[in-house]
Amino acid sequence: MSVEPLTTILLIDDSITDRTRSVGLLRKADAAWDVIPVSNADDALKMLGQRRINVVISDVVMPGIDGRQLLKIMGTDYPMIPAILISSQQDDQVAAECIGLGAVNYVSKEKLAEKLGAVVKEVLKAEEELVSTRRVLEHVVQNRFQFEIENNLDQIRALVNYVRDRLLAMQVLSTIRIRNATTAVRECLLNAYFHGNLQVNSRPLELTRTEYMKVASVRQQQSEYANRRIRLAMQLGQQTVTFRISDDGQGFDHSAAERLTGPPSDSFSNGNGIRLMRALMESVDFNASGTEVALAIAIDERRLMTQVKG
Amino acid sequence: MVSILVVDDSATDRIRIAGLLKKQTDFTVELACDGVEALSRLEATGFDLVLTDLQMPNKDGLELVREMKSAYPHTPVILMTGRGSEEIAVQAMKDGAASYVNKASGSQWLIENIERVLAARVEARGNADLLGCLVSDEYELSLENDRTLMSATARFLSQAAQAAGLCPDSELPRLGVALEEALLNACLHGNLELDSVLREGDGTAFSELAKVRAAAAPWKDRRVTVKACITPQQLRVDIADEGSGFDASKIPDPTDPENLLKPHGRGVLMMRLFLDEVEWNDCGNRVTLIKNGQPQ
Repeated sequence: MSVEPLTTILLIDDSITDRTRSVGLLRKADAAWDVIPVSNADDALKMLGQRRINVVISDVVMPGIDGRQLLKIMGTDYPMIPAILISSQQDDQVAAECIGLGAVNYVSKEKLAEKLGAVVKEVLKAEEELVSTRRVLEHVVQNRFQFEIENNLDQIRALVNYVRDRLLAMQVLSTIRIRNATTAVRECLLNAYFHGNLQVNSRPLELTRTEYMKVASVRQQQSEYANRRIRLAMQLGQQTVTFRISDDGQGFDHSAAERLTGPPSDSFSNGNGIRLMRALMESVDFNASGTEVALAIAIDERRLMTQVKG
Repeated sequence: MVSILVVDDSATDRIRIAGLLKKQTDFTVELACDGVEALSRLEATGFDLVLTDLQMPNKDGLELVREMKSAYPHTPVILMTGRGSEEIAVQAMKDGAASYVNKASGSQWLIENIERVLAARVEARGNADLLGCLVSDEYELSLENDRTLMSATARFLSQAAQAAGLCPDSELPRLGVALEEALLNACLHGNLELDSVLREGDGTAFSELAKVRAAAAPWKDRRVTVKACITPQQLRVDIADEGSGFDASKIPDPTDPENLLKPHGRGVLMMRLFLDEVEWNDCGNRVTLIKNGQPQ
């Protein structure tokens, strides 16, 4: 069945005494909870990549990656998993910071016995809706969305985040490959912005980065360039995720781009965007005029297929 | 210039904080002495940021945060206090404060927080702008015959319609109900071929048979196929089942209020009431639902 009834809690605390105590409190609150205790954030991140975790409980102060840094990483890579932070410090400022970084709650260790079980139950209850959404997403055979944005760096950043969140929700690519795909999409949107719509460096390798940034900031003020649009369509099929990104520029000579192969490197003055896209995606194809790029990446899991066949 | 409203009942603190902020050349500062005054100032002129004390007579800081969240969702609020606690800090952040500053943390910390909140506001605006740029969002789903999955799908699609800005929040529950009725129809009457007559009485016969058939051939292999296309102007959902269909002309008259009280035909009635178009194919195993957006 698609719904696993088991609740798995990942507990991170570098102090063995506190860890043992927290595990005890959680087992007492609900014996059916599966609690995985680890002593540092590195092990926790490994575990998050391997297992389905429902709730993360982490200490704030730890050597290496601390609780706040872990929240930042989870905010990007595991935004769907709720985190509760615990600390021996009595500090309202730290509590507020943790919530600001995305934690769902904060409990001081002094009040752990009194509050931990109840806080976890409250979080699990709030997650029910999320679980139901996830279940629907497991039944998606195809998804396609399209955006048309302004030639604007704020909107590009927001769109990259949107793409990342959708890929995370669909669970068809591993966290690392989602990062690769969003990096390639970002590069491609920036190409559309600078080289396509603002027509700076429309021939790759023409100008150095500092020179073309200067030209770009001038052209962004001129309506004939600034009013151009960027379009992105993402198609999630049964085997691949495809992105089509196009601009309103005059295209470019992509035969020059054909030479941009191999891994990106600091030794190249430019052209690294296209090199990077090629390194991260299965395929990078331009249309004849160079105004549209198609990027494709194969999905990791065949779950979509098995759902169709039942 | 960035305009900041400082709200504090202590005149000493008000003046001290205003003095601190005025050292920053790009801030303009105005003052209010409690939550009520703050709200009336906000109504008169907009501010880029509100900095409020927690304990005040006439609407305290937490109440101000809550009211601003619904009335001025795009104006960030920073809550300050000298006598806070972890519980209050967590509550303030959950209720929508952009940040929380303990007055003991020092002036540098306050300025850093203000700058961080202002930067985040630019990003939030970018995200809001982006949703206005959505052209379309399309889904194809293949669902097994499970009632809870039908309800979850109805909720999912209405949330997607909400994200696209298709309909006001107040209409969402009705949209959800209409979609759920259509999906349940396809699952229970279409794929599982259950007769509504079984629902009369306490309905146990109906749900028992639903359970049996969901696990038995030929019913268990049937799927409900959903194709949804969401644009800011329209939601269009095609729901197809693999049953033998039905005669759409035999549906009880939707204009007759009598029929609202009967168990069968009620679903179709809700669909017609809450959606703009409801249409079956000839054999009755596929329904197309349309909900139009508000004219801009």
